[in-house]
This record gives sequence, structure tokens and C-alpha cells, in this order.
Amino acid sequence: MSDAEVKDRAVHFDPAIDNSKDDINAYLEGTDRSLYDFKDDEKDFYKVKEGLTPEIVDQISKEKHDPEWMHEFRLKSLDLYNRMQVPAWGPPIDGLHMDQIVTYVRPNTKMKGSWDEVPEEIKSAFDKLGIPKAEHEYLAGVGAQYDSELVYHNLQDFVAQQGVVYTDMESALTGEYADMVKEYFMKLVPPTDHKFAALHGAVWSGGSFVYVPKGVKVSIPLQSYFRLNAKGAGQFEHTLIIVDEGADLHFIEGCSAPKWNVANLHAGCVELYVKKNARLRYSTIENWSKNMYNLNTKRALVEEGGRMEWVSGSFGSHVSYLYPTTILKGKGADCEYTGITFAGKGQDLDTGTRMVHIGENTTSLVTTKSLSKDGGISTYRSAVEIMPSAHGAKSSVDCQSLMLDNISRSDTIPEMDVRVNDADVGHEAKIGRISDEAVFYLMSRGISEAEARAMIVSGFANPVSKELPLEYAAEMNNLIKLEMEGSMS
Amino acid sequence: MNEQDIRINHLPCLTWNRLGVNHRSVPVKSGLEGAAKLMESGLDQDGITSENVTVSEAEAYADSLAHGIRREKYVAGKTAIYMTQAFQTGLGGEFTDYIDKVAGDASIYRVAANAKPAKPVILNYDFGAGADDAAIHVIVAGENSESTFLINYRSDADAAGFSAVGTKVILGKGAKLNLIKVNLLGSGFEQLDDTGAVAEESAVFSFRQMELGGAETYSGCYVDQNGQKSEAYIDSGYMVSEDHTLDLNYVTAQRGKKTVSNFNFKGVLQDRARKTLRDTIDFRNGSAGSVGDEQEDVLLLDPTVVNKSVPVILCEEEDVDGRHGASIGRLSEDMLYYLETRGLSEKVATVMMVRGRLHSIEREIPDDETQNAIDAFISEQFGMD
Repeated sequence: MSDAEVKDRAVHFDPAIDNSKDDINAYLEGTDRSLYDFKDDEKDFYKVKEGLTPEIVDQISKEKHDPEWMHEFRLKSLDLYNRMQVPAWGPPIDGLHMDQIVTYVRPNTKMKGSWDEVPEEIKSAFDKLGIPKAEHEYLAGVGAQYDSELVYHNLQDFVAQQGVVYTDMESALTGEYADMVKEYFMKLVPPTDHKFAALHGAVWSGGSFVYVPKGVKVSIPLQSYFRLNAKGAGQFEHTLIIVDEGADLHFIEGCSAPKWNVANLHAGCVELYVKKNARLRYSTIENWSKNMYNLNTKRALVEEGGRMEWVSGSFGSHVSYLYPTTILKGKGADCEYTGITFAGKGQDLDTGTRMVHIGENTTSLVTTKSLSKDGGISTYRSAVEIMPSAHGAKSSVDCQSLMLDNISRSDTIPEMDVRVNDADVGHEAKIGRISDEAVFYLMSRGISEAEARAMIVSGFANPVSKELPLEYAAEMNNLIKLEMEGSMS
Repeated sequence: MNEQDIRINHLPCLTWNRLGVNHRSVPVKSGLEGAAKLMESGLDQDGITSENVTVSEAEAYADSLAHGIRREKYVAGKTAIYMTQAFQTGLGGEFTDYIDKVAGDASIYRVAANAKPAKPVILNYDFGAGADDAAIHVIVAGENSESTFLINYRSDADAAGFSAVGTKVILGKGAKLNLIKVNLLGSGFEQLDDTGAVAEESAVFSFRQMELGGAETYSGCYVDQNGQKSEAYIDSGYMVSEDHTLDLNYVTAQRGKKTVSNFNFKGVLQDRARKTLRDTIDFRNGSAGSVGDEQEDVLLLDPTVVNKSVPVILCEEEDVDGRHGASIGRLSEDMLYYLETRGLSEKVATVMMVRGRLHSIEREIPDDETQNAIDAFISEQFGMD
């Protein structure tokens, strides 16, 4: 590689060089994502000023009618944020300038319990995304967030009658479950955890609170959908789910945003408590637009005999830092993580998972797939930590990466930390390309090369899509198809 | 004698700081006495020459031969990392700077083009009852030569001391070189052993290492596979006991087309031992048709050990095949039970399993005396003299 080529790469990757705007503009050319890329007028929306100051945090807290403890919590988090460093180990986030991010945008409506009451332009956005239809056909409840606030929340009666609580975080914070929220809020992901957890603590808004009582099994999924419409804004929703002893829940999270030529930020936080012998499946199809910095934090605490299941698809964003973490605290606690990441042009998606085994005979199973094309960078980053108390723990990790061209990158950076001798830890990884023989075979059956490659990629993603409900698997396959079409055009 | 801290064994692509694997800070000594005895053999063979030079002459000579390598700042696409060396080594730039200051002189060993000496060149460093020493070697394997270099580090069993060694290897076109390093130092030693290699077209570099001794051992190897069809094989066997530390860093940078890298690690940890292994396959743009494989098998004998493994694959080339696998756990109870039913005590059965694990590396050492010393060392570790 010549010095000039080295310099070219440096421009692309050197954190000291602010190339974010040029990059974003360049990357926005490409795949047709009109299904997700429509924009709505922000007329009459309430916004705070750009930037992050104590005054802005005060203003958000006041607008949201926070209890005093939450107001103090926000200010302490802001102080932590200002004192913490950005991570040195991940994709560059030098294009993210907090002084240009609007941290709170409230649409001109209050939360409604009926789609008919939601303002037409906002309802129209969710109609295009298929949310009301999905609710009608196969969901037990839906929360829909638009920018910083929920605009719609509903739980079907038969689920509510089981004692299931599904509401927006703001209502939970001041209502019947206020004490429970105070007990659990940002205890699993404290603001001290990292800089963007501190940011979240300071400016969080929206999100959902779910409580599933002991022994209750919710037969069909709940879903929260997050739409960030505003240009140059941040979304900081907080999701808190408590699945009590012996209960069972499948929660689905979806997200999208239109593309803008400036950076948007998502720094949400998900805290999941899986009690004794309970089960929680948390499925996500992340499809942020390609100007998004997705710095999200998700963590689960699993008690004795509990089971946590993550299904995670990462397709959107300019930069992602996403590592759902599971703390297997109780004896026999179990976690299964299934994930796929598809990094296309202009995307640097750093995803993976972290498993912390504390209890005896805990088990974890990780299966991940990643794809890179058109200069995209996908990184699988993980840690399996077996603590001295985790006698008899078992962990198995299998990660596979597919390179679709030679201008992209795919990195695998796993770590295993084992501190007890009667654990059984296995790890396998593979990186490679689409087999010429497979493409040739399909072409010999009359399929075009492009279709053959798309079929092979769909097959590669199959272990993930089969874990999703049919409608979401179809959406994921559609996203893969869109990306593949982008690479063929 | 003064001490300072240096940072070594940098992971080529940074990860979460709290895992404590991005690098290692270690204390090193200055003002070394240079008291280890060096016994050399095999230098009288045709095609082998050696020369004592100054440290700066040796470094300049190595750098001049590594002409295909450039100083890098950007690796792994995202993170500006420690790539301060023109001639990269496993321990990294701060170690090279350090050893250049403390080593008294250096040795250059040359294998002539097409030479195929029958016997290995053996360098035995004997630290006796305890000594502090540092050494620099440059090994140049001429085109199409085939040779083996074996470097042994030994001392009395309970001796304490300090050893720092830097080895740079340049393999010409078609050269085949086996470099073997065996650490049987006493239980009070700090050992830093650094290796860097540059492999030109069709060269084959085999690096075998047995890390069995010492209280704190830091070792690394970086292989720059500059030439197409070059091959790198890294086999490492280790056993760490008591409250000792072993910290390892191995990297192959595959630049040429159709290159091969293969890592094979067999380890045993017991008592309160702590070990970190970083092993990285780095497929660079242009390495089409290359393959890489890394495998680690770690046996944990006690519940108080700490094992960290970081098997990394970095890839910026489509047409490659990279794999890694790791298996970490204790002895199979079924196997132990089977051996016990055949009249073996648990201890004997355990030692048998440990030997079996390390034997796959040990058997490749072409020197009976060294193999016997390794067997004796393992027996002593288990109190089975």
C-alpha cells in the first residue's frame, strides 16, 4: 500500500479528522429505503435548544414533571457525563457533536390509547411502518414513540386482565408503580457504567415499563416501536421490564428514522429483570437511518432457573455500539443470544454480546452472523466471563462472518475470562466469502448470479430469522434483500 | 538496580478496557549484570555463520532486510494503535526501545542460501543460581535454506532473576526456518521474550515455544507474511503453576496472496496461576486466497486459576478463510476414572494427561537433551521426581 493509500485510509478512519458530514452525505446515496426514509413536518413540535447543559436538563425534567429524585438523578448523570471519556476502543464517533444534538423533541400531542386519536400525520407514519396493522393481527400490546415521547400506548384487555402492566415510563414513574420504578431504574445499567449511559441518565425520555406478574404467561408478544423523525435530534428512551417468578414474555422492539444529512443520536437503555424460573425473549430489528449514531445499552439480570433470549438484527445506523449483556446470577440461569449484523456502505457496526456467569450451572449459547459489503465494517465483539462462583457453568459461542467484497472489513474480537476450573467454555469462529461453487450450482439451475448471492445470504441469515415471528422474519429478509440490491446496482 | 514500567503485548485491535487485555504494563530492570552463561552449538556446520555486533548495528541490519515492511499507523480500520515499529515484534515498540538500551551487544546468525544444515543451532542460556541478562539475536535465513534454531533458558529450580531477549528473523524466498524457544527458568524469574519475523515469498516460519518456567513470563511473536505463499506456524505449549503469571501475544499479518497461518496452543493452569493469551490473524487487503486457523486447548486443574483468551480475526480481504476455536475446561472425569480403574492414582493420571497435552509441541523439538529436561521439569512441578 502506498503512502497515499495509507493517507486515504487515515482520512476514513482517523478519529482526529472530522469527516462525518462528508461521509454521511456520501453514504446516503444508495440503497432505496423509501419505506423507512419518509420525513414528516415538525410544525408545532416542542424542542429544547441544541446541546447539553444543566439548564437543558432542568428544562427536560420540568417538562416531564419528574419527581425530585429523578431531577437530581439527571443532574448527577450529567455531571458524570461531563467527566467521562469517550471510548477509545470502538468505531470513531468524532462526527457526533453533542452541542449540535437536540436532546428533547415533543410532538404536538399527548399519548393516546386509540390510533384514531393520534394526529393524522403521526398516525400516517406508523401506518406506513405497519404498526397498527401488526397490533391488530398479532400483538398483545403496542407502544409507539415519536421523537422523545410516546404518542400511543395500548394493551389488549385479555392481557391486562392477567395483571400485566404495560405503560409508558413517565406514567410508571409517577403512578401506581412509582416505587418499583425507583427501585429498578438504572440499577442494572448505572450512569457510571459508561459515558453514554450517563448521557441517557441525564436526558432520557419515553420508553416502556412492563411488569408481568408471577406465573403469568403472555401468549403473544408486546411491541414498542421507536421512530425518530426530527433532524439532528437524539432519542433516549428507557425500557424497563420485570418478568416475575415463573412468568413468560416475548417483547419486540423496532426502530427506524428518515435519513438526514446531519448526525442523529440514539442512546437508549434497556433493563431487563428475569426472576426465578421466568423466561423473557427480547427481539429487536434495528433499522435506524445511516446518519444515526446508535450507542445503545441493553442488560438483563437472570435469577435462578430463569431464561433470557435475545434475538437481535442490526441493519441500520452509521455507527453502532451494541452489546446486549446478560448477568446469569441465579443457579441454573440460562441465556441464548442470536444475532445478525449487516454493514453496508458507510456503516461501522460494532456489535456483539457479553455473558457474565455468576451462578452455579449457568449456561449461555451465542450464535452470531455478520455480513460486510460496499466498504461496510462489521465487528463482532464479545466477552464470556465465568466468575469463581459459577461452578459447572457452560458457554458456547459460534460466530460466522461473510465478506461480500474486498473493500469491506469484518473483525472478530472475542474474549473469554474463566476463573473456575469446572466450567466448560467453547468458542468457534469462521470468516470467509460466498462459495463460488454454491453460486455456480445455483446459476446452473437458471438463477442469475445476483439472485444466487442473495439466496445464499438469506440462507446464511436463516438461523436468526427463524427465531423471529413470521412477520418480523419477513421484514428482516426484506432488509437483507434491500441491502443486497444496493450492492448489485 | 532501577526499575521502570513498559507497556507490552498490545492487542492489535483494542477492546473493552475493563477486560484488561489491551496491553500489559510490566516492570523491567536496567543496569543488568549480563551474568548468564551462553553455550552455543551447531555453529560449525557448513552454511552457518555468526557474528557479534553492536545493538545498533544489529537493529539497522534487521530493518534493512525487512525492506517490504512500512511503519503503520492504521490497522484494523478503526483504532489508532501501537504500531510504532518498522520491524514489528510481539512485545512491541517499548520493549524494543528498552532492550536496545540494556543489551550489551547482539548476535547475527546467517544461514546461507540453499544451505540445509543437518543439526540444529542451539543456544543454551544458563542463569544458574540467579542472574539478570538481556540478549538480542538477528537470524537471517537465506533463500531456499532449511534450518532449525533452538534457544533454551534454564536456571536452578528455585532461582530468581531477570531475562530479556529479543529475536528478529528474516526469511528469504523459499527459506524454511524452525525457531524453538524453551523456558525452564526457576520459580523466581521474570522473563520477557520477544520475537518478530518477516517471511518473504514461499518462506515457511515455524515458531515453537514451551513456556514452563518463571514467575512472570511475557512473550510475544509477530510474523509479517509479506511474501505470497508464505506460511507461519505458531505452536505454543505452556504450564503455569503457583501464583505465576503468563502473558502472551501472537500475531500474523497476512499481506501476500495465498499465505497460510496456523496457531496451536496447548496449556495447563494450576494452583493460582494467571494466564492471558492474545492471538490474532490479520488478513490484509491483497491477501486473497489466504487461510488462517487458531486453536487453543486449555486445561484448568484448580478452581483458583484465571484464564483469559482473546482469539482475534481481523479481515479486510474477501477471498480468505479464517477460523478460530477455543476449548477451556477441566480434565474429563470419565478419562480420569478410566485411568484410575487401570491402577493409576489421580495424580499420576493427571500428570499423564498434562504430558499428553504438551507432548504435541515437545515432540517437535529435535534435541533429546531438551526433551528430557522438559519431562523432568514437568515431573518436578507435580512433585514426582
